[in-house]
Amino acid sequence: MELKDRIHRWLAYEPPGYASRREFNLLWVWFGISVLYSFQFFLRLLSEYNGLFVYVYQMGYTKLVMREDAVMPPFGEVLGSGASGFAIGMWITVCFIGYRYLYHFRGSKSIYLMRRMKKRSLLWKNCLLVPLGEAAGFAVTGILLRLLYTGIYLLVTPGKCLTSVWWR
Amino acid sequence: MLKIYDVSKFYRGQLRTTDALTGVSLELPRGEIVGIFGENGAGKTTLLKCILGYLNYQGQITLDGQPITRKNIEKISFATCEHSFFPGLTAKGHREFYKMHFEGFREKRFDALMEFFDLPDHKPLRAFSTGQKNQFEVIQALCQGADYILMDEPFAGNDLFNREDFYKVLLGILEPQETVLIATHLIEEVEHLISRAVLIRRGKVVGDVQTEDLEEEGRTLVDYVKETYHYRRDRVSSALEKLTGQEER
Repeated sequence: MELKDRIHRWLAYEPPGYASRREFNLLWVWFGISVLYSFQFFLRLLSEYNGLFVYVYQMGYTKLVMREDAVMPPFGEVLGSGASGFAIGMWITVCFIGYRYLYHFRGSKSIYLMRRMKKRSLLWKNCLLVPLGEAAGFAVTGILLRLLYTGIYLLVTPGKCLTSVWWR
Repeated sequence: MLKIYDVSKFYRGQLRTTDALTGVSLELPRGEIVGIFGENGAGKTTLLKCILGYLNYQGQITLDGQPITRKNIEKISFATCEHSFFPGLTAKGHREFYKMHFEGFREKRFDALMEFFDLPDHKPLRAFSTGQKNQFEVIQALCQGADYILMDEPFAGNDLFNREDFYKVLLGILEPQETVLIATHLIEEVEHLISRAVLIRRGKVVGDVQTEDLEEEGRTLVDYVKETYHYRRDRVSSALEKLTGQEER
């Protein structure tokens, strides 16, 4: 089965008539906000990098020289709360599990119909699969961005400015 | 045959335990239209929910000799005044859902009933009127392909003409192997629809009669219910006497 078909099949697991588009739109907006929020890493990195150097007036001109005691703060400090948007996104998707389940009690009691289904797992698949996939999406993106930013941090930071615990 | 044997259900409250059903035993053979009657809180809805497995209970309920499980649950359908459809889904969407998940789904009957009641196909159910929702709820139950169709106050909110139309349609479309169990307060209206009446009072079966037998005795179902409930014909006049007598003083 093609990947696209697999994704479509997975996305089909939703309570019938559920406003999944609204859920996806909200999550995409939060995803965008999380990515933008993570860009504060670049501002902090730039600021810390600039802090490694100092202007020195030598022989009639100004020169940028690395400070003797120049130390780049650990990666975690530079990243700060930049990845927290993705962690919050994961919690939002977990809330959607409950929201999807409560759909079966709003406006009617479609839970009565779902509890008469031959496939017992259909109710749980409809409530769990897509939100768990969405949570995984936030987690994977958060991890990948963290790895990317770690790479950028190591590329930008001069070797002698790295501490032994730069990864914290 | 749907067999209900010595079924009891109690609810544990903060201060006391309420016996919703006590030792209810019934046998419902195929092909009957059975009315379940009782005052509010008698246990009608509780009984239906126990049959469907929505509530835990003591006792035994079997369907054609087997306990009711996922393997045979689709032989039972349910129409409830609380409605069991998906509010965001259209009638057409429900049709597709039932077709996908219920092997015995009756498409022709569904289309015919939708046309008869003139229900819109492409509107989400939440946009239907109360009467339309009730009609659709019953259509779902009748078209699932079940052998036992349970209905709990299916006509609450429908006008008289709507209800009468429905009774006629129901009698016309039901097949010999289909059994209907209707819990309702509308005794006089369903009297000519049902073949058997079961009375429940305070969680116990207090009456079980074939409507044919009542006809032969020249009694109406309402008379039978009043007798079984020991309804005092003079209770209203006695109460009014006491009230008006007290006000004059």
